[in-house]
Amino acid sequence: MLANWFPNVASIWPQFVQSTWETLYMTFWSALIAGVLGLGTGIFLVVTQPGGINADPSFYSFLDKVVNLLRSVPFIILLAVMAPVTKYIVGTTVGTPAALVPLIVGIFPFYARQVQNALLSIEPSVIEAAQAMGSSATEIIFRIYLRECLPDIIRVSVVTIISLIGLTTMAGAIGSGGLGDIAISVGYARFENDVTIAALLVILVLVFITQIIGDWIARKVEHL
Amino acid sequence: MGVADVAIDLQDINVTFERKGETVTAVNDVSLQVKKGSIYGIIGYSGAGKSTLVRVINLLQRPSSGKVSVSGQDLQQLTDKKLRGVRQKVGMIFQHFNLLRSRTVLNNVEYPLLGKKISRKDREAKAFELLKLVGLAEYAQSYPEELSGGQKQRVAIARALASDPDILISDEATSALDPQTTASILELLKKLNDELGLTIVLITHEMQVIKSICQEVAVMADGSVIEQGLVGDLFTAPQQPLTKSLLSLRLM
Repeated sequence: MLANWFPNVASIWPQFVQSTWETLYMTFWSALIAGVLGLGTGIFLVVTQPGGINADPSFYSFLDKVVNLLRSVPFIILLAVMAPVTKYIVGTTVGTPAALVPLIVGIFPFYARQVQNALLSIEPSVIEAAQAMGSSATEIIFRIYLRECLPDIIRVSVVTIISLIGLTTMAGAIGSGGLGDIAISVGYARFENDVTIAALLVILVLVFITQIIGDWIARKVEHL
Repeated sequence: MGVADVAIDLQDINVTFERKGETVTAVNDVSLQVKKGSIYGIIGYSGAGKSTLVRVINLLQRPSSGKVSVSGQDLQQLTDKKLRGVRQKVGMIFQHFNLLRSRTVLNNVEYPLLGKKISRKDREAKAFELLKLVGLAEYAQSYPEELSGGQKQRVAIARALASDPDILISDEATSALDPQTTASILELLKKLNDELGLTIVLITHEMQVIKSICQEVAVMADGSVIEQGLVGDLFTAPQQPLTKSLLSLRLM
């Protein structure tokens, strides 16, 4: 069936499988690292904002501007701009590991903003009650903010991973490999449309799986 | 009144905020003393500065000037860590309960004991005892959103008692409740005052609340205490027009 419907995919099958792995690799590692960075940044934004539990208006203003600035850079330009930094960190600017640097820089501010919004959904009076009970800032972060907002954090994580899958395809422009790369450099460039369609289908499946797993976890942590 | 009998001593408290370049005075030169084991009411219309004033007691609101002492300790001299220790001895309940929706009723009551040197088993047992005290033992495994307003406030009271406080601050705790539920919550507070010797500071805009459980009262308007004294005196001989109006509202 594959040979009938997707003749050109069948002829480059090992390369196609390899590309799928590259997409998974880029998504997984950048999600993990950007996840930690974004969660941390989101927490810092909430904690240091004016009126926050550890208010530091100048630090907040700095962090807020950095996040806005990074979010304003179009990803395709970010890929190019980041090249020297990537070369410094990874040692090369091409290949799948090299794509992680711009992917992380591209996605973590987006995630940080969403985490910030999720954490801000807590009523300030609940935070005040925790302070009245003698909780320290660290205790409030872990026992109140992250705990109370867990379902929201999971939902924004899903949205972020889905956006990230989209970004990995663009990283093909700097020779990252992956399904985006194969869709353009093989499917589009050689007029082998079935390769493009097959790459798209795999990406849609990845997105659906991410959504289903995310919804399932979010429902699990919500008690009702 | 000897120093040892004073639970809360506020001296010359001022609280000002900067808002759009203007200085707003929320609390204006207030001094008051709350006796150990008494129930002290603060009454006034909304915006009078009552909530800001009670937040000075546990330094949730730092005063711009004035001195705050609780159980003989000068709070403004304490380190953050010591202050958190004092806050654990000053329970607080709120108009909107402020329970944690991700935790069960039992876990909510356990919250103040997290991170303390107490085993999980003892912690749960203590929280369960407190739930019994407020009459909600059968709801231990429920979540706050499954409870009525009055039940939520009982959970909040149990939670406030978990760290064995000497003082309980009640910030409009009955204002979101119907009259019957209000009466039952006030009865519970009276019982805690009688049985545990808990000092209670209660703010409200309802004279009925003051009349039913308070011994002393301060009337606030525009950030100042305009009249204070024993509840009986206030009812028989109110001095200020505002006090008279608060009293007559009740009679209508």
